[in-house]
Amino acid sequence: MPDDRGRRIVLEARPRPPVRGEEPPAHASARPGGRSWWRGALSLVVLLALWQVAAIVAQSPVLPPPSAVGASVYRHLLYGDLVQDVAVTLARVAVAFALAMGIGSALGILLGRNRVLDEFFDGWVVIGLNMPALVTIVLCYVWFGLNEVAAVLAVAINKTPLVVTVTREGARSLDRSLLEMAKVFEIPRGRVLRRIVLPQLAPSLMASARAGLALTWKIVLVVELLGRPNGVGFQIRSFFNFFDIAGILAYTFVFIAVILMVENCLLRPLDRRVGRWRTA
Amino acid sequence: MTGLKLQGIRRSFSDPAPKLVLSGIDLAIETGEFVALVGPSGRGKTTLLRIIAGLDEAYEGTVTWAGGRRPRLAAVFQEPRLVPWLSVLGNLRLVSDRDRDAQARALLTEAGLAGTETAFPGQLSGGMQRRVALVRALLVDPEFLVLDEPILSLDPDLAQRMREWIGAYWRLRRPTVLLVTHDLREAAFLATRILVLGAGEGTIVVDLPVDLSHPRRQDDPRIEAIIEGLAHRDPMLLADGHDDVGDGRAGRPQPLE
Repeated sequence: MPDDRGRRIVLEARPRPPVRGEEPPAHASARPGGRSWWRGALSLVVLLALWQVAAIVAQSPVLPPPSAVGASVYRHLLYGDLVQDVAVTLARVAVAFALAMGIGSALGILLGRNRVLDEFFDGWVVIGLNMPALVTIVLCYVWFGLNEVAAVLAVAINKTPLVVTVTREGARSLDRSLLEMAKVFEIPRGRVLRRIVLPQLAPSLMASARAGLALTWKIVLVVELLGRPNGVGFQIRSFFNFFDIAGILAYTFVFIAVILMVENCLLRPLDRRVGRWRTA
Repeated sequence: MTGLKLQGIRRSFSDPAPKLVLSGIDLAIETGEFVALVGPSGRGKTTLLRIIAGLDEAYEGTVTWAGGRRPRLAAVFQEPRLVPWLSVLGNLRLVSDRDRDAQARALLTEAGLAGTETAFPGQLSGGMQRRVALVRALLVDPEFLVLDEPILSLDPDLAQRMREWIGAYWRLRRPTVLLVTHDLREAAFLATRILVLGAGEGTIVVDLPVDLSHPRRQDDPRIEAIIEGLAHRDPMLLADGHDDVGDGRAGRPQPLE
């Protein structure tokens, strides 16, 4: 009786959910995030020192020392548009990210649950995955004009296929016995989605969110560089025109810091939360 | 009143080898009957139950419900099928509503599960999970209750207590019950009618009314007589074993052991 046994093993292989108040597993502290903070700080200091030495040796305007970049950050923060530019860019990232996650996961669930649709649209997804971001951006600007809608749409279109692929994998492996149970008891669709389907998709959704965030903000900069009058990408182009390398690096580091904050303060805690019943 | 009518139900599987499991089931179940479907593994008991529960649609023939609508159905599967990331109470809230928590707690207490409301299924023993699954089924106050070997592999005392509980619930609420079991004693202890699926034929070969009043005693000699009578007609019925297609992978036949 292979079927029954197989199913039992799968069920029993599921880790026991945590008893309330139980600490996360010990291996968590071995992860990079759990390393002692001073080693990470030391590593950054070494990087800065190397950079400083290289800048002194090179004595070139295209390789400004860290101190010059720091001064630039200070100047732009106080007297320039740095805060506004980062805010505008973040807003674009947020809208494009939400669009891509919403549409992408809905499509992913649909394709993962419907074999006919999946076969039909698989080719489209593959094309989408391999479409160069630059092409999508240029086409969107050409078709929809140099406006905000085109910019955000271009980013969302770029990211959606990735979300579809990851969510589709998750939807394919949904526990069928639970869906059957829901069918027999005629549990309302919304409730099935929230309490049975989404919790199983949570790991895939989190994976696509994290991979997607990294991709989205990089593409947003290109979109801004090509066709927006504000934002981090636009400023980087103006700095490029004036060969203001310190300005480029200043904007880059501030933006990286903001994105890392989003990742650490938003995505990572969320990730831990959705996987809570699993860890034990 | 006829609650459910099956006409000419045929179901075959093609993987791994072509096999006709049900070859023409004609059956009428009256509302409020307690029907036990017995027979050893591989005779299509679970397949028939899945067709009635609406989980298997690749059959020929017709399934007709009284009044043209499916009644409020509840099922206990061979495995508990609890949602592992929801607490016991969370699992019960899936099928009912928050405002019926009191009823859920009362049923849990009846099942000897008081205090497990916040536990996750993985923290409970197999027997406790099965009882939660039964509580979940009873909580929806089903008009038609489907039980697929609900008492499989429990220790004898607990198994008997669960049988008595199921019997008491049936006497009280009178739902129509379809119990799939390989255990003749269980069938004779609970059912008002026993059906036997034939070996090889894929049809119902015995349709036996059980005219014993409820509640029944386990040591009632008439139960013994019923078991003997059934075993005399089909000695295979005494073989121990159970269906293994309860995990719902359609397209698979029930292998003969």
